[in-house]
Amino acid sequence: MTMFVFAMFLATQVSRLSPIAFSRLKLAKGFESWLGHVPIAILSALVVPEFFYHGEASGLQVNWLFVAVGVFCMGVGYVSKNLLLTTFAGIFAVAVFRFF
Amino acid sequence: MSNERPESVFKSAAPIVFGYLPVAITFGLLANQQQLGIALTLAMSAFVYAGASQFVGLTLFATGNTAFFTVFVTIWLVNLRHFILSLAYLPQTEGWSLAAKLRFFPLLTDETFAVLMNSKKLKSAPSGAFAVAIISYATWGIGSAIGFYSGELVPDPKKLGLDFALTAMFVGIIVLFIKRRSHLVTLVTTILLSIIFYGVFDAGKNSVLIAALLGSGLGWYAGREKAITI
Repeated sequence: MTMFVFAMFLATQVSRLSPIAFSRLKLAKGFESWLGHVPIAILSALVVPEFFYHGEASGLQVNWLFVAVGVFCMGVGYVSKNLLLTTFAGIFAVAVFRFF
Repeated sequence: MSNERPESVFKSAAPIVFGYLPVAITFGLLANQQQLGIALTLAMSAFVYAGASQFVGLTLFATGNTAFFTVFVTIWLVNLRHFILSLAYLPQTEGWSLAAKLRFFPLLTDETFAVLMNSKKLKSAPSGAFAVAIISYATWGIGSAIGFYSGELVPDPKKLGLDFALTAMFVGIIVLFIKRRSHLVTLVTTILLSIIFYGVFDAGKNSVLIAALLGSGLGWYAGREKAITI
């Protein structure tokens, strides 16, 4: 597991430190604009599998509770612009659904 | 040297401290829930020190995606924007020694960048900027530890909806990242492609990286003419 953290450490520090080496470089505008889209793409690609689960039958099943609460969280995030509130709203909504 | 007075350092760092504590506590809680262990949790906060990347790291850990190359590429892509931040900050460090740069830039985050760039007094002062950075860094570590140990007190995480916490957090981060219409294009296309690759063809978690590259490319293509702000 040391290698796991080391891979993450390397990945983050490459981005933070490499600009020091080429201080005079100017980025192409198109590249910069693409970079702005990358975090959204990676995060949404990573989050999609969380809405599926392997059921008893073969193949993947959709977790509709998570889908419903996920949409709710998008609304909370859009209105509040608050990460912690969005997280707790999601946790709370799932807990309430499971309670009933 | 009047530009590095402690009161201006603390005044600048305060919003970061209050912003970081809850997020770091959430990270500690989730790390505990994913059975990461205290050593690995603190090691992540100490050596990675990047919010989104650490939450992505938890997902990779939980799903057994721990191959060196997969972890490196995924985290590198998530954190690529730090490259832009460092590059944008560089002109402020014109007169700094290499040592001063090497101790400051590893601690650069979205929040320290934003706060320092707004502080005329501190942004070009090596020790002042470093002081703000180190206070933020310490807060992140302390918060992670607090979160981890409060996680010990929760008896049944699933009943409390905590198995959804990471997903909710991701949804929140994604929504906060969306500032333009082309970002929405990226969101929708990436989700559709991921559903096709993962949900329909069951091609495994790594296939989502391809969806992400395609989705970010399509969003960039849609927004290349003009930046439409929503």
